[in-house]
Amino acid sequence: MHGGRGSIIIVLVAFAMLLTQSVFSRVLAPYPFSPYLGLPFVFALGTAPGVRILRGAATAFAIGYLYDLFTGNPLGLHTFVFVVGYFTAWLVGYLLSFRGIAFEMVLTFVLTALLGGLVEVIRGFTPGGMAWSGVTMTIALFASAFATALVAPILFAVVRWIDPESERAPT
Amino acid sequence: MNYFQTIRDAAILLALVIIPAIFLRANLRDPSELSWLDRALFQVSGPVQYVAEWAADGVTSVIEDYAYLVDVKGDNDHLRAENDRLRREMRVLRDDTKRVHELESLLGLRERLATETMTARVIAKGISPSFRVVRIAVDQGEHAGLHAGMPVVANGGLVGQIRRVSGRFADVLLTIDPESRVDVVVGEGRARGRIEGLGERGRYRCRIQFDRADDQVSVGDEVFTSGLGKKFPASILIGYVSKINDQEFGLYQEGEVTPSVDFTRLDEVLILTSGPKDSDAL
Repeated sequence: MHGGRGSIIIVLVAFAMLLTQSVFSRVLAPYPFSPYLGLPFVFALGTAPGVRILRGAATAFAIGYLYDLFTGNPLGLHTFVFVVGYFTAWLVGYLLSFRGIAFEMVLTFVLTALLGGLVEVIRGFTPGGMAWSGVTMTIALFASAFATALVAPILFAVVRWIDPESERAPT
Repeated sequence: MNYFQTIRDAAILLALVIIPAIFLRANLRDPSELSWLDRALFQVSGPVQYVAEWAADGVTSVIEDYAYLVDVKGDNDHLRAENDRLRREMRVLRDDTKRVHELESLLGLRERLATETMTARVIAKGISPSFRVVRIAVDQGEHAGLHAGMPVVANGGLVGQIRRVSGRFADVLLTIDPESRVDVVVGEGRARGRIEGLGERGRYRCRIQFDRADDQVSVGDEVFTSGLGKKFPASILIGYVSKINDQEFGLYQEGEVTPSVDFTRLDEVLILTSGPKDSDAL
């Protein structure tokens, strides 16, 4: 499949998962175990050897923008965080050579916790932003990161299935 | 990849990070403190954002409506099941209430009857092709000390008598059966006579034959057991005179009696188990 078309499908799948999660959130993932279903797609693109960095960043941008649009967050919040997440995953993928389910889960857990923290820090600057206690926020972040890490291998596999070219290193 | 492409890609990548950061910065600022750059950004992005949000709202509302409808369907199923259960319970309660009323009536009747009685439940009804009850069976029999000939009464009056007993059950000979004969007194004038069932399959009727042709009786008069022969206690209501045949000549006067008991609605009856004493109950 052509890379650009694969990216569009990945964005649509991420978008569909976001909608499904928002509609059935009570059943599928009760608080605080709400996974960030968009992030594993971004990490999968970041660590895939066959995805050009420009395409991966643009896809992360699009997924983040849809998150902002549909979650009612300040415009740019998830767009920024998802693009940053993509570059971080790309860097990790560049520095580390091993792959596999354990890698996908650990990477997702660590990066989701960090990026979730970044989202909360940015929200802290919002006028009248949330004033959560540190303990509550930490529990929510780690629970969300844990839930995201659990589903990450499936979403990584979805990206590989949609875009098989992503696994092939450029010659 | 040549040098210019590398520069272009780097610029795009930088833009992908910087653009959301700028928008984010503008969105996080207090609206009263916006700079000219922030205002320009909003001017440019406003229409795009408006269209995007309009589309997003549309998609979200469609999906939420669908989820809502799914919930409504679930709620409907639940409510329907709940409704069925409550209807069933209400039916059972209605039946229980009806039975309690019948038992209360029978209890009152038992107290009024100066004789020993036994309550029995109707467990079978023989129905004619025209949906009339032609025979009934009750759930008391030989083991309860019943024997043929014992009178059977209900709240409405005389039902009949035990025809035969077998084990735990007994058949009742109804007053409307052609084999049934009961000595009676009629109306204020205490005209004497006897009734026998007509055995008609389409209606509940008995034939009444008065002892004297000149007895003063009229349609609507109450018909009671006479107590003659000690088979039935005296003064148990049997029914009402519904017809008197014009008979200018002859020894007897005849007519028809409509039983006071509604045989179709019989659920509980009283069986008079001891011989009749002095009864002016009904």
